[in-house]
Amino acid sequence: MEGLIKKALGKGQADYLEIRLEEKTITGVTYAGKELDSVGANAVKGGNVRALYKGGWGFVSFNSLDELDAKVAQACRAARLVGKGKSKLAKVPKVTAVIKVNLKDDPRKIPLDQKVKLAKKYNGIITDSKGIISSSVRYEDVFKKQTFANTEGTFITEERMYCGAAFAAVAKDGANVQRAHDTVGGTGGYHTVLKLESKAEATVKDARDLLKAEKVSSGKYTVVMDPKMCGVFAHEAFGHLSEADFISENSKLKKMMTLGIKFGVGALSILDDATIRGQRGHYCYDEEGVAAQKNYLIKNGILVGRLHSRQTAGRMNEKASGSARAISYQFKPIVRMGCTYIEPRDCSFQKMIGEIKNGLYVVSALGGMTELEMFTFSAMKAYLIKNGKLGPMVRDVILTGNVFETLKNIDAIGDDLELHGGLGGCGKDGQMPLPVSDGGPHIRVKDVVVGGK
Amino acid sequence: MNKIINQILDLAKKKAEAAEVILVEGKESPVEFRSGKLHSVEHKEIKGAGLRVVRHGRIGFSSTTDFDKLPALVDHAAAGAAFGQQAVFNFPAGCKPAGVKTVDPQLEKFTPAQAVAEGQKALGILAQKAPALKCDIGLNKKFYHVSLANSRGFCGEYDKTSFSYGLSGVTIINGSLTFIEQERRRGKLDLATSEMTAKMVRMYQDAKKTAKLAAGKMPVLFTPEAMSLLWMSIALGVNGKAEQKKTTPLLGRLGEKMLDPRITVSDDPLLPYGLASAPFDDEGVCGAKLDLFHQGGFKNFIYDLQTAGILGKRSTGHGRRSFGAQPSPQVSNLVIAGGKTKLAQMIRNMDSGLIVYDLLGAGQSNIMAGDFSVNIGLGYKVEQGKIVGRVKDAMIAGNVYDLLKNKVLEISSETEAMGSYGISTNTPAMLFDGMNVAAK
Repeated sequence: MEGLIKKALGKGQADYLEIRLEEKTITGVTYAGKELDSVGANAVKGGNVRALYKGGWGFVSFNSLDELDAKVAQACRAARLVGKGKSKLAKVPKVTAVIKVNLKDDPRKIPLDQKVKLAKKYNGIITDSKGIISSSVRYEDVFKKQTFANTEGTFITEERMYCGAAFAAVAKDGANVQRAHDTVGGTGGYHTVLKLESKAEATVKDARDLLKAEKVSSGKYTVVMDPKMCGVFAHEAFGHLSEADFISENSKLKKMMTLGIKFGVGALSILDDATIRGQRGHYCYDEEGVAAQKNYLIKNGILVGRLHSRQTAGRMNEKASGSARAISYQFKPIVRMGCTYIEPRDCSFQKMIGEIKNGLYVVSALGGMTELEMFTFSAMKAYLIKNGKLGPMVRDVILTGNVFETLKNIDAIGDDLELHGGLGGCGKDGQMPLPVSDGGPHIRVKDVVVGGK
Repeated sequence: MNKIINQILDLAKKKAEAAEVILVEGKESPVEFRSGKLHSVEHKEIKGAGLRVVRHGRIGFSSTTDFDKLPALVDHAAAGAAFGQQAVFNFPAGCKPAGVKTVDPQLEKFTPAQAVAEGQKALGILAQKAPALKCDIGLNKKFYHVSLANSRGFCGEYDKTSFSYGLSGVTIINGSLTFIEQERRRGKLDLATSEMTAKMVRMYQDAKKTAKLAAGKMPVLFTPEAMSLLWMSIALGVNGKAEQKKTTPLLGRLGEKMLDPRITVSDDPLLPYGLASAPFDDEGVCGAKLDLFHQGGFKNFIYDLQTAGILGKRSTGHGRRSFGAQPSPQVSNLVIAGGKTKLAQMIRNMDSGLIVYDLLGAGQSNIMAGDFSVNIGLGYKVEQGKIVGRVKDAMIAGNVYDLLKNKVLEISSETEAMGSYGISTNTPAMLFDGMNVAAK
């Protein structure tokens, strides 16, 4: 195949060309309620050619790897329709690399019936619990082998192995129906999904407790975010703003995101680091053949960096950050995160809570999204804080606000650190779900607007 | 019928008592503009197959895009069947598909160069009338060929075209980013450039002022764009799987007046050029227009073969899927009857309240129960029947069933085809009374 790829690359009429081929097997087990909803393996094979001509991209994706030359020609024709300016990609080292998955407990070696048994056991914990009317449990592993080659001589074959599990429990009392969930995932091997009984039990407890929880009253609160919500904040509210594709094309936003601007308290550092082994958001090379890096976005309260593709870095005269990612062969690489988190500091959880007269402790996120500086996240659950003590659980807690104001309002950063991946992932430009991780310590934020009753 | 399908069926019949293959072959040509400039022209070819088998009475499934390894596809499906659900259905031997318009010959002829020209036309209009907006544009033409066959002899295929056209503009007004978007998704070519740009210009002009809003209860007008959020809950509620799992609030309420008597919601897989139109569903069952709610009364759940089998009902022809997944009940095109008042008149009739277009954070609440609590991405304050400015940092909360039953003031006579949140709808705008609005 290597010979065919190199030959096809040699035939293109463009400033820059790349070919990316992918083979993937997804093995999954899903329980919905007491029933096994789906089980088995799906196979994917496909590839793409991306061509750059005078600053314009042409892209062709396909399932059949026959006639690569013709696909190269088609991508070049498309690029010529687009290109009217100048091609400028940030310079990166030429790489030749072969990365193999090397795990003691490779999920591919585990027979399907063991995976079914495991999912069934976790599901049983949920369905056998009182008050639970429905459950879902998903086990999934994905083995992906990707070959990347470009006209600069880079040739990389990288294998990735994701493995994870997700639980959801639905509890019902009359017309009141509540749902709780949890998910884990990573690239560390099959042990990622073992011994999760306590997580399944906690999910049941959360769903049942939510039945009794009052809806939160809307208003402004001092909020303590747990590491999961902190991660969603780091990723959704700030991380997406650091993605240079939007910034490089919008001069006003570029000004708002000028490096060196003060964004938060001196103790605040936010970074994206895709090099952390075992994390779901880990990779060695991005989908442009650039090595993953540890990228500080905010360091000690100052904006110091952003996430780049080679094109955005080239345009802004900054360094490529290894952040051009694609969910599959069907998509062009775009600027994305890997593992985004807030660095821990020294405030203990007790102190953080103890100083609050009236507030909310928000735990775990159901989801979140941003439209640039405006963000909205929903917490899976939350607890009232009264006079320095945790109070009863409340539900339907949705946090909203302006990220710049919120960053300034972070007034305590915890001494703990947790990173989370999961079976879900990030969505952008129709590419969903991209495996990512996020996290941080507990953090405290003043004046957060909470929607509710 | 396709050679590959026969090959897969022959292999599968050796390992299973019944089998079904869906083969999807597609081509898409997305053209994208970013910040006012042509960004990319793409071609995507997709060819994939899904195999469902019944082996020792149990269901197995697998899919592939690797046509060099068909025996592996059959092995995967057979292996999965060891753990699969008990099949409570037979594959259908056939049905008489009704005629339905799913292919637009005009769209087939539409070239990427023409898409580029149309995008440039839109950019030209917006650059002149709303120069502050930085615009992204996407035009995508899709052509699909779907083939379906099973071991009981069903054998059907059809072509399907669809076209999506999206305009989005961003600018900073009074120090805050403002997004203005228009999107069309249709089964046929729909170059509504003048209409869409005119609407964007109007929305932009209206957003130039920021209106102060006091929190409290007020009337809120949901445009067709925003109505999709409510129909998403309804689509989940009528799903037969939610009935089977007893998670829907509609459980056991057939015949009950669940919604305002002015509301009739149908599901129509035969809607000409509907986004989700098809002569038969993805299991080979022929569907027809079905009332889900008639004058507020709850009429029907929707089923696929397996869910219907479990509940002792018949499939309503709503087994839908991509080639990579097993079928599950899903609505096709939701068609909601229009009301009596013109949209413009509805706004004039409003004393004071809100108009909402774009809602952020949809899907984060308990959607099945109908609960929602969303940030207003783009919304306007109305005073004495006139738009006075854009509303910022506000949220609205409520329950879909409560709104659609108890709070409907008016329904617009105009309806619009929408494709948001993954469902195809044809919906009017609705004005709701006394909604909870939280503001900063």
